[in-house]
Amino acid sequence: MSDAVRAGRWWGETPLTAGGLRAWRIGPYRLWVRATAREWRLWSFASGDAMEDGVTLAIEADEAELPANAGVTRVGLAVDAPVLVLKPAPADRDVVVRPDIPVVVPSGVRLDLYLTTAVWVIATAGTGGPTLLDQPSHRLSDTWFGPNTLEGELAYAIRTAARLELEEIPHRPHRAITKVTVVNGTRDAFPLEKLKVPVAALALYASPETGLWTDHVTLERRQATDEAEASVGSGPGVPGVRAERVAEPRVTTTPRFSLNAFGRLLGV
Amino acid sequence: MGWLVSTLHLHVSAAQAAAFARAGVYVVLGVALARLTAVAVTRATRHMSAQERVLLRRLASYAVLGLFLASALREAGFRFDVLLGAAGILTVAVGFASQTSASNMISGLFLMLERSIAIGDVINVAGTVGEVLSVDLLSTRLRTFDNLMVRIPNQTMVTTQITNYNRLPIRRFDLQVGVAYKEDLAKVERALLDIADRNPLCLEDPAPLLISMGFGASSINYQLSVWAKRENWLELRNRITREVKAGFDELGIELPFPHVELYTGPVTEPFPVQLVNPAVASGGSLASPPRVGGAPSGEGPDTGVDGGPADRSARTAGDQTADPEAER
Repeated sequence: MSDAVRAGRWWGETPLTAGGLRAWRIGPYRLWVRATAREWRLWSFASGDAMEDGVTLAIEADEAELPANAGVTRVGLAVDAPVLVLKPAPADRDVVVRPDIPVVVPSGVRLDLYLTTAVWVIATAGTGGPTLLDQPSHRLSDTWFGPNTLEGELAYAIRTAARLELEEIPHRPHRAITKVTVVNGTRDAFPLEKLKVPVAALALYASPETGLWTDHVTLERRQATDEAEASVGSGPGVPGVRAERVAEPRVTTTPRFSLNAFGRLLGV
Repeated sequence: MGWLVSTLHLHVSAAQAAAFARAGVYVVLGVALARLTAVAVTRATRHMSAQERVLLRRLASYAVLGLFLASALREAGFRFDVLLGAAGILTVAVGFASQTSASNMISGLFLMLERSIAIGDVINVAGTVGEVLSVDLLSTRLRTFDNLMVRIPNQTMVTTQITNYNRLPIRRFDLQVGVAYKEDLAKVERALLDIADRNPLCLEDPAPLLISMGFGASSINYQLSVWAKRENWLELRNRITREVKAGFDELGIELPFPHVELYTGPVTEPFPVQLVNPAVASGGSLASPPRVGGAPSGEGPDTGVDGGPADRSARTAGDQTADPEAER
């Protein structure tokens, strides 16, 4: 087993042999790639089990092994020496996280939560080449986040244990950890039933020890206006975690952005 | 013809001919400039919606064309002060003559200002469902899904209820499901909500809703209401139906179809039944004596009263020899 596989590191460059079929496995996501003289053909398949683990990189495969329900993408592109580049990317929409059991945040308390969200897999033909594929490693459920069915926005939904201890977080190759700090600056405690994490606006980082991370997020509820303010901090925000930046945010936003009402952000 | 030409020669002086020629040039120039203006406005308003682009393009090109036509008429000797003097009478005359057209035009303006529909929206107008192709001066054009062009007068559009399927980003689908009376309803409800929960197209919020619709003729009925992103609505509709069927099959939950039990009643004449297929009649569970009239039973189709293909073949054979009276 290579160091990359042991560390769950699946992104990077892979030179391909023209006409040969290679297969990748990234948790629940499977990818098969064949590059010929004039076209690239990519088959992909997600098992649907978000907790599936394991990584295999660029192993030789046989077309007979392809699942019948694998989606296929054909790209007309002539390349002399084909090189496939895989990159992780954040989700293309924000993610609404609902803890299995709501966490009560007492007045004046600053609470660190650790969440994991599925990353997207981007395949390009060579570094800086055209994008061949941009798919989620695990299809997240859709949801609507807003005060009613007229106002709001589409997001992805995940249910989570919302762990408070980093050591309890399982490291999976297709999921990125986000540290969310919730600050309750009001006089009342409130139950944290759901919160929207602006995942599309977060960069991704890779740590050799703990896998993928996103920028850390702080949500602060204030006393005077009852408004929430979210801010995105650069890097994982956890002391001792060494991480290099591997993907840029999908959408750019100001480092601090406030929303109209706290309920809009935290769903309380 | 010669007479007409000679008359024209007599009455049209050289100066007048030159004025008509100038007027013609104005008209040609006006048409060309109106087209150029339309192209320029279309390019300049790329960031706007299709509806706004069409509206601005028409306003600009009609304005240019109108100015040049007015100039052409003036060059040709048409006096606008006379027109203004007669405006009152003209307005009444035109008003009477074009009442419907004017109503459609004003309705079109209201439609554009109200913005209840836009080009590209899928709408339902009095049962006609289609995509809006244009909102014109007098009418709105729809393309139905079987590719028919429907022209609806704007006045009708204003006075009729319109359902716009594209206006809101999420949409609900109501699946009507009936389950057999023998089923454990708690298990059925859990199964339906699990199926909705597992489908990624089904929105988590608003949460799926399960409503008991009461006791039906052949089933206990439920309505499973699930929400989806508007673009995914049709896919969700197809998938959820397939998944409910597959899920119920896996759990052994029966999806009943209407059952009809024939009963002639104790005071009526017995219902004649005859089994003529010897293979069925001589062996197996169907060899019991044919039930002749009388009491209702849960045996249903297999009793030979009404049934599947085997029963139909027996009846076909029986048709040749059966004498209903002999069976009583």
